[in-house]
Amino acid sequence: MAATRRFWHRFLAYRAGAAATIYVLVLVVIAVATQLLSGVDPHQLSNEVMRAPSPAHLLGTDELGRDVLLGIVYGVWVSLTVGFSAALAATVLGVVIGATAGHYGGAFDLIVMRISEVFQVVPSFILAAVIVAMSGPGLTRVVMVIALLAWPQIARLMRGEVIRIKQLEFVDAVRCLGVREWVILATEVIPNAVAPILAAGTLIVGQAILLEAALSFFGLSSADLISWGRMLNSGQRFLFNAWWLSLFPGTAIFVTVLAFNLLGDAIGSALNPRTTR
Amino acid sequence: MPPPRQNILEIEGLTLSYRARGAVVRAMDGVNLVVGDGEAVGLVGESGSGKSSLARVVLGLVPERVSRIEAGRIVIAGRDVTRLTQAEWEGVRGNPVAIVFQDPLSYLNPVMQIGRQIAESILRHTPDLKVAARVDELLELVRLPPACATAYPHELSGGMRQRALLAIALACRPRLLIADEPTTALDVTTQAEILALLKDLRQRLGMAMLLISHDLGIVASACERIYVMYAGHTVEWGRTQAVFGYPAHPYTIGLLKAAQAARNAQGRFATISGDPPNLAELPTGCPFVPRCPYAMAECSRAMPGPFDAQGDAGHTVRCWRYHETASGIAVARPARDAG
Amino acid sequence: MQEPLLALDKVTKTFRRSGGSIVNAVRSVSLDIGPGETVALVGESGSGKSTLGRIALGLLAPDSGRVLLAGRCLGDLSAAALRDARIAMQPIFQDASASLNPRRTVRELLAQALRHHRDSVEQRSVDLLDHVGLRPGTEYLLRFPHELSGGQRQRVAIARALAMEPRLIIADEPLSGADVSIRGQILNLLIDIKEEHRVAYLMITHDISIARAFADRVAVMMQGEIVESGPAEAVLHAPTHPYTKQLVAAVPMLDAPTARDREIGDA
Repeated sequence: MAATRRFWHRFLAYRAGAAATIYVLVLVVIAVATQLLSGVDPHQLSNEVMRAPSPAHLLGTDELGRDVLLGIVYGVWVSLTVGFSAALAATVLGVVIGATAGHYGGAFDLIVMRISEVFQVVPSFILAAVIVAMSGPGLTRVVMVIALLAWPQIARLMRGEVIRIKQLEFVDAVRCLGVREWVILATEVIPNAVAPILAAGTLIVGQAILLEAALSFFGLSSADLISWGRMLNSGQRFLFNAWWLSLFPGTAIFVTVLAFNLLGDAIGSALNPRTTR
Repeated sequence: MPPPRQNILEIEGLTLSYRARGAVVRAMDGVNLVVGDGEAVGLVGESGSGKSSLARVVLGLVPERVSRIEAGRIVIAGRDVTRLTQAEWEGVRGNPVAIVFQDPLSYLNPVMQIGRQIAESILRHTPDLKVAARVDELLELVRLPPACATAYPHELSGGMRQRALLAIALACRPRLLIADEPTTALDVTTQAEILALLKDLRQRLGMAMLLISHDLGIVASACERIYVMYAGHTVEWGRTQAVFGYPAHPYTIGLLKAAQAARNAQGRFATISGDPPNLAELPTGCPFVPRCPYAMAECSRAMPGPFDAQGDAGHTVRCWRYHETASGIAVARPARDAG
Repeated sequence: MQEPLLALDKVTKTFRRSGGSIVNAVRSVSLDIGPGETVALVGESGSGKSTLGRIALGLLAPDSGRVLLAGRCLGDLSAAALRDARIAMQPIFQDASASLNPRRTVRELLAQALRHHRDSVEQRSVDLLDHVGLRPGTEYLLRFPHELSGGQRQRVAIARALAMEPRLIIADEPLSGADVSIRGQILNLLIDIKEEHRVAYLMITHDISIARAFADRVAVMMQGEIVESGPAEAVLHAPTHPYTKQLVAAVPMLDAPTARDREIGDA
């Protein structure tokens, strides 16, 4: 369809967006591959402990002789799962709540917005840490906590967009065609808010990856999962004699979060039908 | 018998192109325009005519990265400014040439009092002046109450904002004021006040004015001479009475008929067929061909003229068939004295 | 006497500004529009004319007073009944780029209006586009609003309104966004539609010359009130209210063609 082709044309015009897309696609392939391939065990211990990067172990080994590269590769799955699920949950929650609040207004709007403010003023990491510490670790819990912390961003954005869009003339024009209110909300208002929401949702993927890493870094995740944050956690003890244990997982987090931020920007610009570039 | 006075602005064969999405778009093509010292000149055009590009290029306000002057030259007060650098343009902007735009709110600083904005403009050109007195003088000149000096832009009505912008422009004592659609955002009664003010200011200050508008009535009532632009070309120009009383270019004729908003014997409104020009897809030759009732094969070969319309001195037209169109089609004359 | 198609009966609407001050947008306005009649509502910005238009369309409920469409009071109707009733009134807005959803193609825009004719949407769409002068209609179906010129967009908006077979079209400054050379095309189209479909118009405009040439009757609005109304020629040629006089005098007019007046300088 013409609209789809135009989207890709514009999207690819942002070189950073294109690079970020390729990077994320590679990550997805890696994540799927690590789940399908058997026979490689990233937990495999060896006698070659604390080796600096070398041709045999490109990114070195840790204190138990585990290969850092293998760890980073297997950590992709956790990061992406947490990032995507948390962002998806937060976005769905935020869109529904924000759209309802914006469209119908009134007491519901007031209450929802006050709740979302509470979430926004409390430092999210501390709140996440407290909740996980109280409820116990686990990937599903981490995802839920992150989604719970992130939905207000989407909801506030969605509410603002809905309030802006619903007073545009084309909504009134459609109303005069006798279309029902909820149909107007679903087919006219929300689709026009998709661009900023999708962009913000993509940014949340990055935030979620970062938050998961932070929780893992503080040991608030299941011990049997390989995650970049956990690798950092064990690496930081050897920061001065085995820099590779901190640098490479840290770089993986940094680049991945950056990629999702760039992707979010590119999506936001490419989806705007009036962007001229 | 052109007036013997000096020209404050001369544009000769100016061609300006923009690069947009890989394509090159000609916003102006071979434009000729002269404003005499103290003269009121009108520039009429619709969307895509290039009239706003003209206003900006005269002040060096076209973005250098994407635009290029391909041919022609601009002379302001005897000085060739065609190839000035941005630093050199500073010596042109404000004095001798100042500009006011359609939407004053976006050109006023929202967090600064009007009086201070006027004062800044004064100090830029005459740093050692007694500013307070001059601010009061300027406010009085544009007929704003002195209290407006301490007001912020959002506290003023649309008409008052336009007056404030005018005061800022006048603070530089320009010899030429370019007014780009100065009343388009205003109500008709406010518009009439601003037009009367412009006329009065011109007479008092002896300032020349280039009034750019899509509204033929406004231009006719305020200007001595008129240029009509279409798709980047100046297609007809001359004294107001000549151009509007005896239009020779088919576009001018169509525009005048359309602007009268009157119905003919069949109850129809006059109109020009087709769509406004798309500068990215202009035909060769005369750009008006797709909409022109007089078009012939010759018209698509080359842009005609300029020819002397032979009705009134200086009345010039760029149409091969001007002698046929001009004969007897006296469409309109300005309702008011063009004084 | 014939029953008016739309009757506004002492309609009042006030808005509260964020500062707390109250704005009387519309003050006890009464206005009738008969079947097939063309009425122009003339006023400057802030006169309340657009608010009145939105009230007439049932998009805004008045604080007091009644809006009667073919004798039925819109305020007494249930949400569903109001939805069905006001289909008989269709709006045309000033800026067609704002009144057409930028994400929909022309085909999708028209399909919304033709949703009760599912089997023949394509053919009806093409017919409607032909009807409003976008020929051949098939060429325009897949375009987005931003791929059309301003005049073409306004035609699409008119086509969509026509799809509902309205009895009244409420046009709020339908020409303000259009070039002078295009205005006549739109006005002629509106005249054709009126003759063919017997629709009535409420034309909301600030342009006195257009009101005079287009409308049967004119109502002049100032600060939320109708200060003068009557036959278009009478009101705008010989206004009695001082505000109407001021309004008429303020318009820089081009005279209609006069016979060879020789005020022009000698050749």
